[in-house]
Formats: sequence, C-alpha cells, structure tokens
Amino acid sequence: MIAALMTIAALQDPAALLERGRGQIDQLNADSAVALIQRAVSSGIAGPTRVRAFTLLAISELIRDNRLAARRAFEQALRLDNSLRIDSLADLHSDARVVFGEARTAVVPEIRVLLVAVSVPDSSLIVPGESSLAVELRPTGRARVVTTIAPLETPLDVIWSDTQSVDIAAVARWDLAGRQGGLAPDGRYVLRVTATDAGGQVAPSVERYLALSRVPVDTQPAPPPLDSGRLLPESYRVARAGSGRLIFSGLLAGGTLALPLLFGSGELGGGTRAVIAAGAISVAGLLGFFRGSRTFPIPENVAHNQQLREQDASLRGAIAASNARLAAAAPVVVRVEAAAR
Amino acid sequence: MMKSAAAVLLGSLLAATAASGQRITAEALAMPIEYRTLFQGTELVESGTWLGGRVELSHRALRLEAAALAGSLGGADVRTTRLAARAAVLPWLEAGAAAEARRFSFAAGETRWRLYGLTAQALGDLGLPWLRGFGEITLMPLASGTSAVAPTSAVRGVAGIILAPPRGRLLVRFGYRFERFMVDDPASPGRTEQLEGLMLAAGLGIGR
Repeated sequence: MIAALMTIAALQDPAALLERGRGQIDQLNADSAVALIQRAVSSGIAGPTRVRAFTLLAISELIRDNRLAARRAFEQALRLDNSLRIDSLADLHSDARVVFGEARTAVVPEIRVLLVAVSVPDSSLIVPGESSLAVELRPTGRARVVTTIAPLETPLDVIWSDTQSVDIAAVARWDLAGRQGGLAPDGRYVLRVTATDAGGQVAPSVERYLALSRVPVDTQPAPPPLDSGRLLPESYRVARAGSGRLIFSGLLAGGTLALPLLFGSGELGGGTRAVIAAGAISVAGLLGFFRGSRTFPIPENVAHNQQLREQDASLRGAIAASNARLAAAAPVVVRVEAAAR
Repeated sequence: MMKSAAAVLLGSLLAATAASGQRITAEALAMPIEYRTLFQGTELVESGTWLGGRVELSHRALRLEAAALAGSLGGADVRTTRLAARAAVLPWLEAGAAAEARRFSFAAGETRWRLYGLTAQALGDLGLPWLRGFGEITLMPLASGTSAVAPTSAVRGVAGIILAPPRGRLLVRFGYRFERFMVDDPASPGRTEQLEGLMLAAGLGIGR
C-alpha cells in the first residue's frame, strides 16, 4: 500500500518525472520520454528545471525523428535562457547541435540585448546641499545599474558611486560629494554607467564627461600688510657700551700690569711686555666702550605692537574663513562635454 | 708624514665638531719670550721665540684645551705641553684643572718638569661683539722634575684680547703671558725663574 502511494507521489513530482524521462532517453524509449517530459512541463515547473525539460524534450523528439518538434522545444528553452548550451547533451543525438543551432538562429533576434541609456542635462546649476545632478538611467531590461564619478585625470579613482536595481528607468543623483565627505573641486570628471542583468549580460558602459566650475562669488579682499608705520619702536639704542665693559677692560689691563708685580720676584726685572699688553687691552677697552652701544626694550611698545599684530591676524583669519564659507556654498555649473580632451 | 696626518685629523675634527653643534678653535701662535733666572743672587736673562699651537673644544659648559710650544732658550731646546679642562661656572668665568709638562734638552742630556694645578679664566666682550678680553690665572702647587734642579711650585697668568668677526671663522689673539717657577736647587737656595712673553695667535673657530 505504502509502495503504491510512493509510486503515485513519484508520478506527480515534476522533477521525478523529468529524471524518469531522462532515463527513457538513455534507453532510446523516445515515446515514453516525450510523454513523461510533457507531463512534467504541464505540471508548471519553472526556472532552470523548465529549461532542462524543454531541452530533454527536444532530444527526445530528435530520437523520434521529429526535427520540427525538436527545434520548437529548443526554441522554448532558448527563450527562457538565451545563454543555454547543450554541450553535455549533444552526444545523445547526432543532429542535436545542428537543430539547436537552427533554433538559436531563429530565437536570437528575439533576445533583447541589454543596453543602458544615460541622460544628463547639458548644463546644470547645482547649489551644494540643496540640489544635485540628476542622471537618468534607462536600461533595456531589468538590470543592476552602477553609476560612478571619477576625476578625468585618474579615472580609476572613484569619488562617488550609486547602485540601483532598475526596471525601466531611474535617476541617480550626485550631490557633488567628493573625497572624505567634501565637495568635488572644480575640474573635469568622467561619469560612467554600467548595467548587468540577472542573466549576467553586461551592457556596454556609457561615459559622459563633466566639467565642474564654481560660479564666482563676491569674497572680501585680504587686507594690505600691516603698515609698519603703525608699529612703534620696540627698543631704543644708547651709544656707548655699558660701564661694566669699561670696568672689565680696566681690570684686565690692571691685572696684566699687576701680574709681574704680584707674582714676580722683586729681585728680577721685566714687566715691559706687561705694559705693552696692558696698553693694548686699554685701547681695545676704550674702542669697545666708545664704538659700542646698548639696546633696551620698550615693554609698552612691544605690547602695543603685539596687540596690533594680533588684531591684524584675527581680521585676516575672519576674512579667510568667511571667504572659505562663501566659496564652499558657491553654486556649481556642471556641463556635459562632448568628449575627453 | 706626521704633519699631514695631523692636518687631516684636525680637519676631520673640525668638520665633525661643526656638524655636532659644538665649537672648536684651533690657533697657531708665536711668542717672543724673555726668561729670567735668579741664580745665587745673580739675574740671568735669556730670550728666544717659541712657536706652537693651541686647540680648544667647547661643548656646552665644558672646555678642553691642549697647547704645545717649542723653541730655544739659551743653549737648550724647550718643549711645553699643556692640557686644561674647565667648566663655565658663570657666563664670564670658567674654572678647572691644568697640567703642564716641560722638557729642556741640552747637549749633555735633558730635564723634564711636570706641573699640576688649578686654573680660572675670565672672558667677556669689551662693548663690541667682535672684540673680547680675557684673563687667566693658573696656580700649580704640585710640581716635580727629573733632575736635582726641579720646580716646587709655579704660577702663570695670561691676559689679552681676541678679535673675532661675528660672522667669520678667523680669530686673532694677542696677549701677555707671565710664568714664575720656584725651583729647588741645592746649588742655589731660593732660586726662582720667570718667563714673560707677548703672544700673537691666529686661527679658526668653527661651530656655534
């Protein structure tokens, strides 16, 4: 009883029907194979199993010498999967490749070649943070469409990308985002769109060349360099070296004279050379004193100048920051160029 | 050969010193001297000219100095070698230790003296950055000799000026040098000897 039920269940299972049909082909029982496979097909199988069913049906019809039916079955399979190959089944019948080729020739014009149409406005005015560049994508069939932006100089260095699954049409929006969260600077870029369908068919990539240029904004000019006439002298100079220098040279000269007197023997002569040296030291000391000078700082002027410099630096910093903000918010004109130059 | 090697060594030392941020000065100096000896109550006076060189290496507060002089004195050839190490204790004052060896070569033989002591040097500008004055005093209470006539102590003083253009490497030193030696001589108790000389040196200073 159980065995009978299992047999009935097996007869209802499309996959089992298909495998049994495959077995009948191996035994060259083409009529039985056709019956089993048609029953499997009519049971509503789908996807790759349905493709396989039509392929086996075609082989079975060939064994029955029914080329027309075989070709129609191959056409059915190819319409479901235009990348179908029968390399592993071709040995089952000598005409399998020929008839399959005929079917493919008949069906290929029906297979939709995947293409993607890209539409970008010739010229757009984009306000950062408010608007974006709209790229309209129209693949010929449902496909995964990838849109990328890269500098023209370094086309492999993608700075922005967008991936969408598109049935008929979609829009990718580039907000001018560049590297590290900043805005893309002025320059030339390449917009590249690629599409791939579920069957693995890849559409030829489409490229557009974009030129970005900021609309000039009114920025504040940098102030002129700090007028040195506004700066007060930070030190004053006094002619003559300090008296300490004169005292030092005097001590040296006196010490020179004193050397033979202090340490020499009173019974020995000499000392003339000490006088010469002391004279030279004295002359040098007087020269240094009269030709020298001293410089003294004026703290209040130093503080005044420092305040002026800080005010100048602060003003310059504020203007630079303001200009940077204006430049960052400046509208950007995006133009589509005919081709890369 | 030795002179060439010494020149190469000095050149390498100068370059290495300049590169490491230290300072080195090397000078050649000449010193006409007058040497007086009180022997048995009689003053003997001899004169001559000594030539030599001096190298000083400065690293932070440390100064190392080596100097050598050679010349004739009466019937003897004299060579002196001096080593000193000083540390800057004040911006204008350095103090340290010094050792000096002196060899007198006579026809009949030679005598050597060795002296050790403490040294101090004052150095400062005279009102112009390229004009400086210096004074040095060295007390050498430890002295010995290889013959019966040997020093027991010595004192030495040097003072002068240095001309060194601020952005140049050349320097010129002019000064007065005085030395006195108390000598133990069995033939002449109370023997004393003293040297006076005017020295003129020219050299190079490299580094900061």
